[in-house]
Amino acid sequence: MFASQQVADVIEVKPELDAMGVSLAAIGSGTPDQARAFTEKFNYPGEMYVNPSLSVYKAFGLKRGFLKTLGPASVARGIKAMFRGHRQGSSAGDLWQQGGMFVLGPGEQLVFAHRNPGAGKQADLKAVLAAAAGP
Amino acid sequence: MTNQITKAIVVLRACGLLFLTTCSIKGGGTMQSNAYEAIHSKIAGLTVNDLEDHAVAVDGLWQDRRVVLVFLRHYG
Repeated sequence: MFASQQVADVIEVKPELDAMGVSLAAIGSGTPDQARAFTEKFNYPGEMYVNPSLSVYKAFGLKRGFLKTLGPASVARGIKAMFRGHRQGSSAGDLWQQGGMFVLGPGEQLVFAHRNPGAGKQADLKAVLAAAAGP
Repeated sequence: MTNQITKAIVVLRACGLLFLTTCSIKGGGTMQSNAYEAIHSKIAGLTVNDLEDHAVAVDGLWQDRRVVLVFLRHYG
């Protein structure tokens, strides 16, 4: 449910990203077919890539682990997400891998980094937009 | 005996505070001034696959443009 919540959040700010000329790309941990099904189910409007080996997740320093996914804080956020209408669907990809959000480029620039400390611990989208709009 | 009970109460309160703190930490990103160097060598040569299963250099995703890059958890 957290992935769908994450996508629902970025879909909301896609028009603002478009207006700034900033692209939206996502990387998932499943197969291309699973990523395509997810994209179609949630009408995700950005580019989608997959990294089943998790090598890129690891290079970006993203966390992975059982307690990151099912610890008490993550469960509490899961209940909150359910009240917002996000339901856990069939899962595909690595269950224990956490996500994150970065603003990069053009060239060798990293202007925003958020590594989810646990499931459902998403980036502040206002901060993402501010970074995307910056130099 | 009383001291042991007092110590147990202190430990339990500390655990409860830790639990509540863990539950209430706010989300948010960090602005980086020159953070690219920290990931530069780690991502060199790494690829992701597009939906046609073609390999794409990951650093090519932002070579000529600004991109918001979202790392998803599992699909679901």
